[in-house]
Amino acid sequence: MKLKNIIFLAISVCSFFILTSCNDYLDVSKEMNENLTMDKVFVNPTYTRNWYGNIYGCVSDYSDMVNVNPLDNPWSNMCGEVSSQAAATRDVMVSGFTAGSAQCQRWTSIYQYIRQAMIFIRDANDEGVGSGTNRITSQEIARMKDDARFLLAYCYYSLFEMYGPVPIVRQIDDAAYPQVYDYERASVDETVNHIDSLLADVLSRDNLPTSLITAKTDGVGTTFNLNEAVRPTKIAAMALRARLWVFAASPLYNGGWDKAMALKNDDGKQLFPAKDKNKWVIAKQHLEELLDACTSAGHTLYEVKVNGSIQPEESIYKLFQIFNQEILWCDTNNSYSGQWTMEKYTNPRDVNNSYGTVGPTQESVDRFFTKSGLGINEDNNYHEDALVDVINTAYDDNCKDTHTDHNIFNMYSNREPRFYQDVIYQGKSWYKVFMNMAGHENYIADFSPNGGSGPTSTDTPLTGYMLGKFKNRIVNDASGYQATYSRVWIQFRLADFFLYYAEVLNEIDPTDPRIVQYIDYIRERAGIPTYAKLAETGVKDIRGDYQKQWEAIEHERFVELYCEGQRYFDIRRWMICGKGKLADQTKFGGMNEYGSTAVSIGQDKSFYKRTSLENRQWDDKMYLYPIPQSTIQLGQGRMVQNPGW
Amino acid sequence: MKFKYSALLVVSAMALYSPRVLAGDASENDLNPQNVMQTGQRTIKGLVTESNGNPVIGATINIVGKKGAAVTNIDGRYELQVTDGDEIVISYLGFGSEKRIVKKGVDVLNVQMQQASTDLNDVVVVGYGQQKKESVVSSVSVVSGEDLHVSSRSLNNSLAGKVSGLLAVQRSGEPGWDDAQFWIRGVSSYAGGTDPLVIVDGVPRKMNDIDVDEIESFSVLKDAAATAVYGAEGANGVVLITSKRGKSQRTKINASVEYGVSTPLRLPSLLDSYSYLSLYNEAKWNDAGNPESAFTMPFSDEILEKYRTGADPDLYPNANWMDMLKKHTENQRYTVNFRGGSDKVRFFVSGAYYTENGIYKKNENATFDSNVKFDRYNMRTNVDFDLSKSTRMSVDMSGQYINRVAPNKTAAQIFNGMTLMPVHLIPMIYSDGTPSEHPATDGLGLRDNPYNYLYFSGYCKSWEITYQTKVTLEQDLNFITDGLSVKGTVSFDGTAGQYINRTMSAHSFYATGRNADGTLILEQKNAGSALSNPSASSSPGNKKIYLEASLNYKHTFGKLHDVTGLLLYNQKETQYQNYDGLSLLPYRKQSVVARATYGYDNRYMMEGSFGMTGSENFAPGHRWGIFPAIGGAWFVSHEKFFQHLLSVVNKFKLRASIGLTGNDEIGASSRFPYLETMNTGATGMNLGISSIANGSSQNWMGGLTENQAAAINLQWEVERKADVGIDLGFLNGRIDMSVDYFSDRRKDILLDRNTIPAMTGLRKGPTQNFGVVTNKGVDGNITFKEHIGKLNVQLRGNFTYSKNKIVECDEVSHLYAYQDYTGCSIGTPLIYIADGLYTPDDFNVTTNSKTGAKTYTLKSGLPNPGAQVSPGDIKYRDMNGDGVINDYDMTYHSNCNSSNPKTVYGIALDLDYKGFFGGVFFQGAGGCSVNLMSKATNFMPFNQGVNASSARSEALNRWTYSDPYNQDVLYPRMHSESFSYNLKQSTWWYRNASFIRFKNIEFGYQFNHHQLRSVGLENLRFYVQGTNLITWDDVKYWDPELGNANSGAQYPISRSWKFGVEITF
Repeated sequence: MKLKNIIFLAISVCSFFILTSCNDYLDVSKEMNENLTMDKVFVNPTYTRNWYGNIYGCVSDYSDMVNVNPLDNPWSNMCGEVSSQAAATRDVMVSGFTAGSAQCQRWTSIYQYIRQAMIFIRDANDEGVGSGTNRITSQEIARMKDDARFLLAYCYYSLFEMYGPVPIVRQIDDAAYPQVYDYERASVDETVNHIDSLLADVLSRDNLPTSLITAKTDGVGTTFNLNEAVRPTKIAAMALRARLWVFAASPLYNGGWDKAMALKNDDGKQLFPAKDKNKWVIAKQHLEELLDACTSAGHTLYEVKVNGSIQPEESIYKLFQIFNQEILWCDTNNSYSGQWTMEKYTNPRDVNNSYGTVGPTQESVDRFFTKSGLGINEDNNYHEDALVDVINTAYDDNCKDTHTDHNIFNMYSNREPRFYQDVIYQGKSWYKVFMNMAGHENYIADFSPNGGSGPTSTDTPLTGYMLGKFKNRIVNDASGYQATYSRVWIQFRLADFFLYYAEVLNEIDPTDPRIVQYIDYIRERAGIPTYAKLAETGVKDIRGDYQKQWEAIEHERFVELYCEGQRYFDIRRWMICGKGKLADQTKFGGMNEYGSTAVSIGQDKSFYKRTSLENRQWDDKMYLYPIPQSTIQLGQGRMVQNPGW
Repeated sequence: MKFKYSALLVVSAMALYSPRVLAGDASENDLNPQNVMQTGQRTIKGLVTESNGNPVIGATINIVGKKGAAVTNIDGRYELQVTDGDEIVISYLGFGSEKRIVKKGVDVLNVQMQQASTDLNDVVVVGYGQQKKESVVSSVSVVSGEDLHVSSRSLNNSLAGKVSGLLAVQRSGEPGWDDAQFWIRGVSSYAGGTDPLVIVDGVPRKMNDIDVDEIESFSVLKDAAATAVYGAEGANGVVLITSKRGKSQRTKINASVEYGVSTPLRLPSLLDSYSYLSLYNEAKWNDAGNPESAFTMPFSDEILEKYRTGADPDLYPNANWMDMLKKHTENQRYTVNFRGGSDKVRFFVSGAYYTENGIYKKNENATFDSNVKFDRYNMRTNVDFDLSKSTRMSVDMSGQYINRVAPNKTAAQIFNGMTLMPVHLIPMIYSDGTPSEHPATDGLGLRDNPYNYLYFSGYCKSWEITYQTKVTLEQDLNFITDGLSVKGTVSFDGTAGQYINRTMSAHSFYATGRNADGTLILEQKNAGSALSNPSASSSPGNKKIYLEASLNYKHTFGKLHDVTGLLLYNQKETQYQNYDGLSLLPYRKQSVVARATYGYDNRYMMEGSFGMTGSENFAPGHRWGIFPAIGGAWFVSHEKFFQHLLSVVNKFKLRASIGLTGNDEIGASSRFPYLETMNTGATGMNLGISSIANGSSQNWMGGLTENQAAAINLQWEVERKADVGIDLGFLNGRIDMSVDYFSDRRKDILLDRNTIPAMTGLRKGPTQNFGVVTNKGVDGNITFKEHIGKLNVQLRGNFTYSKNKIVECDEVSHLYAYQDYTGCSIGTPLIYIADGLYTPDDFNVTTNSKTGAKTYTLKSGLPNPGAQVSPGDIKYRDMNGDGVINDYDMTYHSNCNSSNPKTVYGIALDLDYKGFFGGVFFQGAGGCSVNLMSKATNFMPFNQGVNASSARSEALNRWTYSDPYNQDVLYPRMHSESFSYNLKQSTWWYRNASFIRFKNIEFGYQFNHHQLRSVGLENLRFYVQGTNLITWDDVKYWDPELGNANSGAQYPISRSWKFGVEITF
């Protein structure tokens, strides 16, 4: 009896509480049932667009030379084009890095965008989604999927140029329970063919427009579909394909490096192919396909003409300020558009409270041509021995007025227009709108110890130069405030591909006259004597000489594409980085910022003295970036590391 | 001021109650022995005393089964009519009762009474109940409130070394923010929470702001047998705090007053301007290769002289920012409590006030005082009613009200500023009273004037009130069966508060020189602003609701079989205010608990228990977990065969337990970690622009990605705890000790899988219960008591050692095994090993023939450090022997430890002699390290150049060119700007953070009852207490307990002296 009572009581007390409250007491998360989950994405037009919008994040923002983010542009610093004080990359080439510590890894984030694109291609509803004004039609979905395929190709290309061949993802893994398929590196040919086939597939359909140009005129007046400036066009796809094959044909990826040739997967598969000259021919075909399409769509070099004659200063300046017909593909993320980023990193710190830390190195300054179109070593009129008057042509937004600067090192006199547009040197006047304001009339860029960009603060570029390219000349107008000027960042432009074409032709047949012709298109627009003209006047003749033409192409690419994110990859694919080679990566210098401008040129305590800034390291293993060590470890032998790492 | 008022309060409280005290006095002094003559009766006499020999006045002496009774008089004497063979019982409130048999021929029967505090010794508070101490099978440490000797505001700060099994460190000294972190038997998880569960009077509550005089007992539950009943919350150990309750006794009023003075310990001391700039000259000279000629010091002798003489402190200042700190701070504590009751109603009521001020000096010119101030008021009422013979009701109410004042900048900001701001740039304030400001401040703390932080940034006042209520109803169910009872508890707790800021900024200037007349040329830097209107900054707040119902059974069958049983249900809810998103939803748990114990003849004990917990944070179907445990004990000394040993070994008990507990603080970054989440704020893209020139971005596509995959199987961490222990007593209890060995294994630690290749493209590795950590160690305590004449000596010691090891953290293995975290203890640093400093012998030196400047090239065969090193720079070990120093040379195996101690111990010696008492307490910790370079900018001179850093006086202890082989220095070669190579985390900068502290000394005088009786007092005590008197350690530059904090730029820990009086009526 008693026992029964106990049991009865125990059960009734406990069951009372449990039954009355247990059911929903713990169901707090029920309120979250309507949260967004994966299965709700592709039935909703906004989420579908947002998913698609994220894929564009894979596109590298080469305008940002300050951040260490590998999808920005740490490369300009790492290859010695500029010094960048604020960047964490500042000493990476000095102290070196290992596969475990390499900071500029695209690997993880690019594979995330690959997954993002693959899911979109698989899951976006081909029938279209939504209704009314918010509807995405089936045709639009088809185009978006081809956009995604283009971006997928771009993703693999970004990995390829950096690491060489990489694993190709064939299956979309389950997020909650990944199967962890066996990933191993494809060969160079497999990687290139995979990218090529993605682009060929896109080009085989008509979902993409050919070009953004909607109506063409000669030069100014061409109209564009700016509302879709970033979306890939057929021309963008052709351009990517052409660049892909230029890389595939270049020595680093085409039998030029014995250490890479020795690289084998654990099943014995050789990753880097033996040299195949035919790849230059394939590159040529794709370049010609591109250049033909460009011509018929109305893409030309951007040239501002007055009375039929090219205005080089204005052309070079406006090329990066307004949308124009030279742009084959662009990106709306441009770090020069905002107030706080690149414009301020390339202003002296006493102009609108800026940071002034990104500056060309002496090695870069020395590579700009003289106004005679020659290298500084070839031009007898080039001197480094006096302070002279120099006319600043990068002064006025309209490129009409100029400013005469006094006491300028004659290293900076008689240089080509691109030099004045791209480099801000000691004593150079600032922009017209700024100098028109009271109190700034005599403002000059000053990198010496007491100057507005001098070394007494970390807000100095340390090289004694600042980067002038890309900068807008009207954003310094309001006192104390930096205005903004929005523009796109150019990913692909015609000049780049003209130089590729010259390079490819030179590899196939150095006697081809189009080689010099295509280099000269660039020189003509830049306002320096063409090689045709130099030959004609007997100054210098490179025609038909493979080596001289190659050097001319390398030189022109450096100057024309300065700081556009190409150099780091170009000098690697050419394999010219070692000590004593053309792009000797151990050199990194500037003017002597700690010296005085009053001390005569070349003296120890003079500002005007070439000074080595960093003891940079070079090792051939740096031709290819190391794959993250964690990926190698996880591969347990199946993932092969690049040589030397 | 405050002191006077509070003293007044205590005195008036005394006055109020004195009539009753006197009345009580009178009645109890009335000696009234009964004289009923019976056959064979005779008179015995006797003296009743306490253990210290003081007479017990008013004790009653009863004869068992008869009517006769007596009461002791003022001298503690009694007379009673007895018959031979009678059993008499002597009892007095507050003492255990004593029984004696009246033997033939004995006329005098003196009795020594034992303090009833033995109550606490007989009963141990365990989870959801109490157990007889001798029948406990689990590992539980108990301390009484009095023995805690709390010497500061926070209970947490007085625990280290007092309780075995508990590790504690205090990381800051800032009033109100100085609560120590503590762990029970160390930590077993690198992802989940490691805080023990704290239960106050049966309800989960915070413990730091409980006034110590409210505490009756403090229990630490350590093994599975003790903690399994807490189910998914017990794995980190449990602290049970029981507050004092009423007693059926004459109301006792206890009041105490304490006044303390504290002195900050080991403040950073700054190098003066002259030495700092001279050091900079040296650094520049070092950078130039120590040339013999053609080198101009950046600061000329003339300039240096101006700094040295201090002739013009406005233009050549020497701002010792530490001067803004006071030498001493004060604190006061007042408590009064009332404890008493009748047969039917018992109560304990207490009130306390604590106040402490901070370290910052008052600015005589300011209208407000922004110094840190902390005030706390505590109140508690615990009342027990006997509603009927078998029904009890308890009503508990308590509250804490806290007021704080602080400068508008945090202590971390101010101390950071004081050790970062150069001393030579600007004075604290110009001599004419004009606030100073450096022209090149970056708004992020660089070159901000700390003086302005403190005196011209306004202040923040905050209040916080916590109220705690609880009602318990307990019904004996003897009508069903003997020993059965049922109990129900409801508790509502709440916290509310508000931070109120008033901000301002200084109208500040920078002096660029002097006019012809000698006045300063001042350039305005900041227009300044007056104190703003109050604005709200945050308002902490929460509510907690706790319900519990239980069925208890306790019975002894046939005198040999002790059986107890417990069946309990509880549910609790906590909900926060001012949180964001999902954290606003309530946090809920339900538990069902069962426990059964069986003891045979006090020799063999068995206990089985389980806690079953349901947590709302997991997926339906995965919410409930069951955590069972069993334990057993063998009381060897209660065996017959042991009887002849009892005179030597009076206690010998073996215990063992094993079981599972859980930890549902799994460290997930979000609530409901099992839910699939998407990232709607991912990178998106503007597809277009609006025009060809200066076109704004348009056609925004947003950005949406996966975030976390659904992981419905997620659950709590599970810990298997095993424990064996031994309790020993020697020489009639003069030596008492207890030692436990434990071996715990935590599994199912939550982590995002790392070993998923990046090529899957997953944004986040799937979240799984995957990690494993083991934790093993020993804890124990020993007490030694001895009476030498009238001198009582007690020596107590306890220690805790625990070492954990990561068994599984889903780590991607490393190229070099010494870089694998797996196998190390949690928090072990990955650092370089420094093999001293480079000496000139390591280099080929080329000397510039003109200037004598040296260029150093490392000799071949030495590893390439990847930096331009010179003698005096740190030499790192090439772990992998590849000839290059890079990140592959960092190792976990450097003999440096985490900053949390593995060992904590304490030794206390207490003495008393005829009312004088004294005690000392030493406390120590071991197995931990401090990283001097945890914040390089605050510790490395010139790390941000000469104009944005400072140096401490230790900076003079450096390598110098003139003594290039001396390795016995703190700083390597001085560089004039950041030289990241020397700043690498390495053994050079790590110090053993073990320490031994002379933590406490206490001495005083306690008046004896006899003396006090005559003035109507029950107890009167004066005492002096000193805290943190001496510390022996290797860190030296700051208090070792502060840890890495900001490289010592942290609110300091203090030494304090306290004077107190305690009175009981």
